[in-house]
Amino acid sequence: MSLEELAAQLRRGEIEDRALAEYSAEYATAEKRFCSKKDD
Amino acid sequence: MTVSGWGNETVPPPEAVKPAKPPPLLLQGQDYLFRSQPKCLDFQEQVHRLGMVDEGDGSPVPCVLVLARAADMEMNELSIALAERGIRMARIDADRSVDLPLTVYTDQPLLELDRWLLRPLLVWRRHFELSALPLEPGTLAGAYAVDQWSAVADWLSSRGDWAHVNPSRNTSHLNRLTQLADAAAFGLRVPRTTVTTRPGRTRPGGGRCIVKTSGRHLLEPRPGMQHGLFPRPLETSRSGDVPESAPVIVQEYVPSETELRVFVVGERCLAFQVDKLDPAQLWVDPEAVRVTPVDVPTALTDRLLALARHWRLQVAAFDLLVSGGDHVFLEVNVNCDWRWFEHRAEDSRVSDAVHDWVAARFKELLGAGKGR
Repeated sequence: MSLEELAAQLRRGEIEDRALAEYSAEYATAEKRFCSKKDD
Repeated sequence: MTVSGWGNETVPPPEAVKPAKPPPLLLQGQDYLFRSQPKCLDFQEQVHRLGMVDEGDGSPVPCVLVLARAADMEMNELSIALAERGIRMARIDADRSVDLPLTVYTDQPLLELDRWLLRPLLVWRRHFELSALPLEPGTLAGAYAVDQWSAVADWLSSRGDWAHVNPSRNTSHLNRLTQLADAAAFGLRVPRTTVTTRPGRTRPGGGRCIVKTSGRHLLEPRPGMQHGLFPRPLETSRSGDVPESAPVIVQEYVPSETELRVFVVGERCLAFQVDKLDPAQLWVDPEAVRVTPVDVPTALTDRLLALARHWRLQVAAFDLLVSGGDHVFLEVNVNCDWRWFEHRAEDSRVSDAVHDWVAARFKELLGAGKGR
């Protein structure tokens, strides 16, 4: 599969691969956690 | 107390009975601590490791190379945005760098990262802090790895045959004090400022003052443990006449109507108005900070873009006060956060601009034959 197709799947929340779905869930958690952290 | 044979010289008391020296001013009452995990959050790295992407014919793949840390969410989002555009991004994170399979060629602009042969066209180093390397502090092996990574990361982020975002060759000297001098030379008002180990004796401007770090806002004494060092009002009752262990910035307090954060992305300026009661609220109480997208006056845009060109910055964030209708320069952040501001303002203009700028620059370099 191409990078574009995989990224589009991620954006649409339509990931079928289990490992990638786990990554997606971890990413969503990290986004929530880090949105209140200012680094500069 | 006297000692026989040495006249009447006072013998200093032993260490154990010396009065305890207070901690540095910027550490007093400072309990901000953030734990940053070295967990890979990079989309492109994930899908390549999982073998989900067409691998190509083995030729070097032109890419954007990022030197950062795992929790750099701006770069994690960039990875997805570039994937959407079909652009390969590869990553070296300081906190995941130990034992990384990496070979960099010196006679060709290529590198092997894990099992991928890559041809970086554009390199962006930000938040690649050596203090994040997961090593035991104070050991020879730890010092060795830090020294090797320091030299190699400096080289990677300044190689002449790769293009760079905010080239470190031009920006590594850009501390807050150099920034103030340059901003004043470009016609921006700056607060009166002193650098001192005696903040209790120093009052630039003669009135209320702010104490700021001369260095970074987050210190990492142990990998992954980030402690905050935030601007605070100078209180003489706390500072007294006790010398600081290291110089700090003491700056005139400038009363202001509001504050601006202006992002420069290429030749664009994108701004947010930031309303807060206390400088440290940005870090310790973000929910209390109001962030609103605003337009930048043309005269200010011209000055900030001129300064960004002078400093060779393509993506950076300026902090300014609005005081009596005038703009007062506070600092520029080379490794800037934009998602924090976008989240508060529910606005994605800076992310969109950065992603578009990086993609356009990459395609420009590819079109110029740099990818061959």
